[in-house]
Amino acid sequence: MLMPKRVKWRKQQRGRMTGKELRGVEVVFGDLGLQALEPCWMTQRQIEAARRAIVRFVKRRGKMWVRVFPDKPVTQKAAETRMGKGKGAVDHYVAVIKPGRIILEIGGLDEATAKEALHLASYKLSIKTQIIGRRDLMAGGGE
Amino acid sequence: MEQIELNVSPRTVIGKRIGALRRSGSVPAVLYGRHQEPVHLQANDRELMKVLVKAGSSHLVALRIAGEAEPHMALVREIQREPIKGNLWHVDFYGVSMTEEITVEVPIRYEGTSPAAALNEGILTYGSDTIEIECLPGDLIDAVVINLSGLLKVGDAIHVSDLKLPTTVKVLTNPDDLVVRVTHLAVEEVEAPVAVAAAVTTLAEPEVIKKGKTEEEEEAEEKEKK
Repeated sequence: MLMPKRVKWRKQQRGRMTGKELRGVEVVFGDLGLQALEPCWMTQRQIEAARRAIVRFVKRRGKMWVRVFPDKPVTQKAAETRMGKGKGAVDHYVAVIKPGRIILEIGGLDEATAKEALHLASYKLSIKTQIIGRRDLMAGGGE
Repeated sequence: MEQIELNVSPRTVIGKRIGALRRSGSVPAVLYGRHQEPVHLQANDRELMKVLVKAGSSHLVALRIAGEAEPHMALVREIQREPIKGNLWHVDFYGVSMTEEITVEVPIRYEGTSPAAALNEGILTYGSDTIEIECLPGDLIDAVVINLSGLLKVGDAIHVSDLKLPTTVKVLTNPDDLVVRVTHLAVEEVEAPVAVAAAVTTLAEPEVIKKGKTEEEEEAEEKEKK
């Protein structure tokens, strides 16, 4: 599963997820992308499950890009522990997703297959998503 | 090359009041260039969208500014959009002089199908989507069209040097750069559920980057002192 190899600090504060994403909002590598419409903490397991759903469906065809990385540690206190005594241990890692972020991209497939693959992947995620194409500045296409 | 025209008007609204302008159906834009002062403009969003689809980044647009007799020839340089719906937020136009050479990124378009890809022997891997060219604005081309039917087997490739372009156009992209290649199919991933379960139960701790010097550095420093 995806997780950082080296970190500067083991634990982080939670932060806020207000507003929309302004970077990583365009499909740049593939032909179609899965775009988040809601904010969330996307866990490493969700990302892996979505990736596997696509790999299983497309088999050896096409190419896929995962555009998010779970780099935020989430801590969890042990069960039946009294409050206090410091912050809990790192339980898992998440990617902070804001509306507009492209999560996965897929290319090298016909449109129907690519859409179906992304649709299957979207079931593995806990947020609403939409499938979008390229919005390149290219004459006669992309819009 | 067909001339594309766009009617725009000078814009007095700048700064935070731009939101109201967008809600009224106009898109803010700017025209700048090498020999001209920047001009703030606004255009009707529907009309502008039609022009952008038609022109792309490598087709000259004749900007007819209200109150001015002569049109300004310009290229669409940058488009800013709302991230989810894709509505236009702002457009940059780059004013060109018809007597000076310009550098433009021209899109590559593909036609036909590769026999190797059609028979599922390999997949097409694309390099860059665009190539950089230098030419006079009047000699600009909309796109470079590539026929894929010549890619017969795995390993066949088209490079920038293989592209056929008019003599008036100078290619700035490295001639050895890849445009498209037929590569082997990806290796099918074998799922290993046992390994995954083990990974889930024991989350490996990432290495923490420590501040200060490492032991090796300290030892080396001590040796130097001696």
